[in-house]
Amino acid sequence: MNKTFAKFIPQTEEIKESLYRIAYLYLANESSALEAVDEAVYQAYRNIKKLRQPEYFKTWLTRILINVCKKELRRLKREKLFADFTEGQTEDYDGLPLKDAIAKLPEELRIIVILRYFNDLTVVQTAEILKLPQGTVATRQRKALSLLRLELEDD
Amino acid sequence: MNRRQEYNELLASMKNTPPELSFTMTRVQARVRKNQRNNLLWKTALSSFVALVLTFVITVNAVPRVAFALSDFPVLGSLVRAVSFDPSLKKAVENNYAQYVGVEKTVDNLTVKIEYLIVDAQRISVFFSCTKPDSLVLDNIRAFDKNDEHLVAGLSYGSLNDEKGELNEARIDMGEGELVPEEFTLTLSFSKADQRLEATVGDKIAPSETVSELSFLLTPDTKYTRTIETIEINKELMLNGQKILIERLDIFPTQAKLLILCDENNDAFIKGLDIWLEDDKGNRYEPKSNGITATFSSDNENIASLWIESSYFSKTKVLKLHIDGIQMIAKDRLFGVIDYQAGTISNLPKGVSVEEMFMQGKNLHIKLGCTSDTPNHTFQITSWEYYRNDQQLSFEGRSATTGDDEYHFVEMLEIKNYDGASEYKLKWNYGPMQTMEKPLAIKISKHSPTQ
Repeated sequence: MNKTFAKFIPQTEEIKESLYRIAYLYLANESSALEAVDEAVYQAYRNIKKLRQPEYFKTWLTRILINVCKKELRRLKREKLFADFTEGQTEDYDGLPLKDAIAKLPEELRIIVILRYFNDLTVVQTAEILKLPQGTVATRQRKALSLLRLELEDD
Repeated sequence: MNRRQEYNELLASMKNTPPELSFTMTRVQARVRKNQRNNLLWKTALSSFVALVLTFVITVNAVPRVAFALSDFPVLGSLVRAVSFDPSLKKAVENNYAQYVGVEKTVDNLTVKIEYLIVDAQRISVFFSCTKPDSLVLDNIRAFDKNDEHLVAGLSYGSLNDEKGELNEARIDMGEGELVPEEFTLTLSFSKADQRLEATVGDKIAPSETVSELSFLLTPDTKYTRTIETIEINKELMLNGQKILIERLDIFPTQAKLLILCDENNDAFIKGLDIWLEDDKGNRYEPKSNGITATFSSDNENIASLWIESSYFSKTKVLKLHIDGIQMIAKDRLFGVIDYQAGTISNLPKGVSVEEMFMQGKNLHIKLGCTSDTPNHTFQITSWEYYRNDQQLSFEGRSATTGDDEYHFVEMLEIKNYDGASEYKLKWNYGPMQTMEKPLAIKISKHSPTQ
């Protein structure tokens, strides 16, 4: 095992479960989530030398994972393997189990909910991963919680 | 239950992750290793190759044809390190076989230097160093002939090492029947790191924009490129009931190839042989484990050549070819019919089992387990083709993972849009190595080098 990989493993192992949670809620499917995590970790390893600030490893790998999930979701929708919820209809969320309601959210709202409330990230951390202004994260968070009829504490 | 309670339950359930998650790093490791082996097998006798291409752009002016003693040249220690994994290349360097080039080109803060070539009739190893800013990444390497056409060859390389003083190898394996040209151009391209990262992790793998490109015109010393030692063998053998003809052994400075012809009337396809060479000093030459290790017949069913470490630099006049085992698949057991209801597949090769079979959406997932003699080693159990009512289809992707048991791995397959009313067949690619009851040792004599 080379030195790069030996160092890479413990860093990745530490955040693997968090990555899986993101992928699982994003793709609403266990096997797709596992494949997305595999793919993201593989891409991260291939590009590890390009990470100039190692302290941002988690942020960087999470970003890679989200892009992998986006690509996979488009493929699943194209092949009609992802439940084709109609997004945005407020009344439709109420009748759904929470997990399905999250899957129904528009992607830009869904990822905020996943990062903030299932991975315990702050608004600042979420904004950093998604490369968004903090205000945008806060706005989308409020909208998502409103659609889900979920009251959760803010930062 | 209100939404808050649902949230708490969902959050709690997320703490249970599937057991497969534990093997993520193992799967990634296997994938990394697989890529580093750089296409181990040629499955067909192709007349052209797609260059795999590393991006690395170096322009080199014409270089002198004479090879000097390596001790006269710099970075020899780096070359020795770079070839340490390859016994044949290591011997070549020890015997002053490498050709020093020493041509460097710089564009902005990017510097690439071609240091050495190790060349024989069918292979070119280009050893180069690189220093570059972090903002640039190697995008691809291409090789062209004097007419600006891609070389008919496979081009492969590992991860770029841009540490000072370290050498990288770009390896060019000429296509079947092709010889190394008297001159060729190596072109390396670099793109911006940020762009490449986005292209890698973004929506699609978009072509990167080349920001630097350098080309080197290289002229290997043909005195070395035309030397092949050929030992005609022409020995017919019966191995576990199968007839094969050992045609000849071609010995190049960087590798040796044993050419084999399998009888079409055999009742099994021969997928491999457990062979090694021995010289009269007792030195062993094992099968190649890096790069190309074998080629197959044009119908892809029988082994056509096996690649072994080279004895070129030994002074031996006599070699002994040892055959210890044979890998084969009986022709009447080439296919396995899938029975999803029963969870079985017919004609499973020995050592292979169906670990799981399940539907996910419209797709059928199959997990095949297999034991391996080598720890943490995976190989292809099934072919890329499968059949639905005799219509040939191809798997779009597949993966293999090892787990806690380093002598066991799982191959995962996915049949898209599985139709339960149709008959599906897998085509086996693997048969376990059968040890010969009486291993063979055939004495072969070296002839004069042929040109």
